[in-house]
Amino acid sequence: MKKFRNPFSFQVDYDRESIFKVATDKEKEEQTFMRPSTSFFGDAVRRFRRNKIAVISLFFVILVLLAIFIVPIFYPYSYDQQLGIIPGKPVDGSFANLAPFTYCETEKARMAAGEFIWPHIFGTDNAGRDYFIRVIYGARVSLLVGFFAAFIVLIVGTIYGSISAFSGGKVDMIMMRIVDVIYSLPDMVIIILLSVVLNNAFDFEGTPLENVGTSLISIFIVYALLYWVGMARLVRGQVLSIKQTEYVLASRSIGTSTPMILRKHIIPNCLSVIIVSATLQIPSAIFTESFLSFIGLGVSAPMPSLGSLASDAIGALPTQPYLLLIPAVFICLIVLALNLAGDGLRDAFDPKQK
Amino acid sequence: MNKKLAFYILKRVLLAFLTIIIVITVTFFAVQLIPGGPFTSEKAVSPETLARLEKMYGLDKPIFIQYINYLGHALIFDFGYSIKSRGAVTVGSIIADRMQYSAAIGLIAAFIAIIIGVALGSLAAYKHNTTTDRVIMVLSTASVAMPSFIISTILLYLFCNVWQILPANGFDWRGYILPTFTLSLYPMAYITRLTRSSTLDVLGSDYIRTAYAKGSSFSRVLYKHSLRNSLTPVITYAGPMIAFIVTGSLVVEKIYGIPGIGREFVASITNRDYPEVMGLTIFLTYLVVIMVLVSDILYKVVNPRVELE
Repeated sequence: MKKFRNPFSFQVDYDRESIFKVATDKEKEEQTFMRPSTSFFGDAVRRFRRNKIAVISLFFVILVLLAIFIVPIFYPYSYDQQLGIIPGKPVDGSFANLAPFTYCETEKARMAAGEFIWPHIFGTDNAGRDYFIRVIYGARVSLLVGFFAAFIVLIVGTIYGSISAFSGGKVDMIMMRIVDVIYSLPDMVIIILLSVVLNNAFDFEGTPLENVGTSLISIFIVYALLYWVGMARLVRGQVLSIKQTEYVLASRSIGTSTPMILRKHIIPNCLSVIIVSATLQIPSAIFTESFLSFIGLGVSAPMPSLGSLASDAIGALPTQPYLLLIPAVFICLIVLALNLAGDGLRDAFDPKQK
Repeated sequence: MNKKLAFYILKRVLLAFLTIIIVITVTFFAVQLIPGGPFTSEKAVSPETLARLEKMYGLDKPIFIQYINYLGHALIFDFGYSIKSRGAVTVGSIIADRMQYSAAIGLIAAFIAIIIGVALGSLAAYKHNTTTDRVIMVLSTASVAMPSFIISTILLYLFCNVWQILPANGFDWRGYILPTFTLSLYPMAYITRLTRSSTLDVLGSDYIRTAYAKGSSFSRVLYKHSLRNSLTPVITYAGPMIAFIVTGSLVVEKIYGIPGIGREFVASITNRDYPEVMGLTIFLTYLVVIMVLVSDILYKVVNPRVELE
């Protein structure tokens, strides 16, 4: 049934097709002035790439990571192989303490016979082990300690912080007082105490953890017990502040469920802060490990770490300074690169903080 | 002093007390986990002697009574006898004896760190975005990237063995130069960054512009307006700085051969002298917790704008 329509009306007549024509694709395209929408993550990447020092640092870290996993595959020596000791033969002492790129008498004889001998790039140590592969392995152990410790801190701190922020009230207060107590402890002293205890009290022999070494496990336990407090405070503060923002309120007012708000707003906004802070945790763990190695509580021999290599080389400083300097330079560069990359990430993800 | 501040101080003191009790508890039970009593050694001890020794040290009582005893004594700095000295020397007297060296080095290091750190930080902020600023920032970033035991070793080698400018060990004033410098390096770099960023904040504020606008000289603005405000964050660092210096002293004292608390701590770990390890752990906790407490309260007193929880 057609509605009655006053011919003098100024109202738009929707039934007349000539008024509204479907726009062609070309016309539609002409009206588009939008660039592709920039995501938060895309923005951060763009800001990060503008920071040259941070990019170089990140590149260096990736390079080191590649090196420590690829080099041991093709390198002819292993980190615990004492080159002078071959089963069934007398010990060949000439392999010990070679200077970089030199060969011992035995190797010279074999080279004269036409055999190819892989050079000892950093020489050998006093037990006749190739120092280059030990430094590579040391970097691997140090970085693994760093990454794993950061991972533990990330997990424990995030869970604790978000539980505290979501519970609120008394639970929150008690949880935060616990954090305050742990925060004011002299961490290094407690780490030393726990390492002493764990080194002597537990025996991991026969378990899969045996290869890792008691000292490393105690470092991880200590990190899980003590170092998450900074992260927990950070996460709690972040969650609390995001909970009160207008966009969460808006989202809530249009009826979004709590899990959805968590997934869409709170977690993505916390994530960058958490990841950045975890990145900055890695160099601190590497430092802690090297410090413990120095006072004799670090990784157990023959496994090397950069810290234990450096502290073992202290006695040989007058005669073979490179034994100390090489791991020292490695620690310095890795820690510096991680710090700078972490700072760059923080600036990129949080432009307001600058 | 207002009521709110008094309440805050009371709360912080209670929290510090709780922290110390927790550390004593953890230390006590952690050391209990180590297998073998303190009298287990290479030489076999006859059962009668062992029983007598355990009675003498109160080790024959139930573990909880032992804990209460230890807690009570540790709170008044009585940490029992060092095993290594065969019960002749108390841990407390070892601490008192060694502390004089550590305290001297630590205080000088803290002093150097604050003076030079604040000066460099302010300089970098006033010369913001110039070469001076960048050089200071690069130096302060680089100096925290090297473990202190490596810096100490290399400095010791260069100054004492290669150039022979300074004595390798000795207790005249020249023996203090390298240890205090190494010890102050990390806190110095941290204070530099802290001062720089807080000074930059202050310099951008309205009251500094007003001060300049009303014709104050540069030095008047510096002392009357900028320095006072930019230094308040540095106060909060006093507690953590003591913690750093305590940790650093473990390394520095061992390398430079200074008979202080740090070297004693490392030695007691190597000797497995558990009463001493426990005593030193608790003593160092006291030190750090009290410093953190003092610096936190001082911060609130100095900076009345800070909201009290």
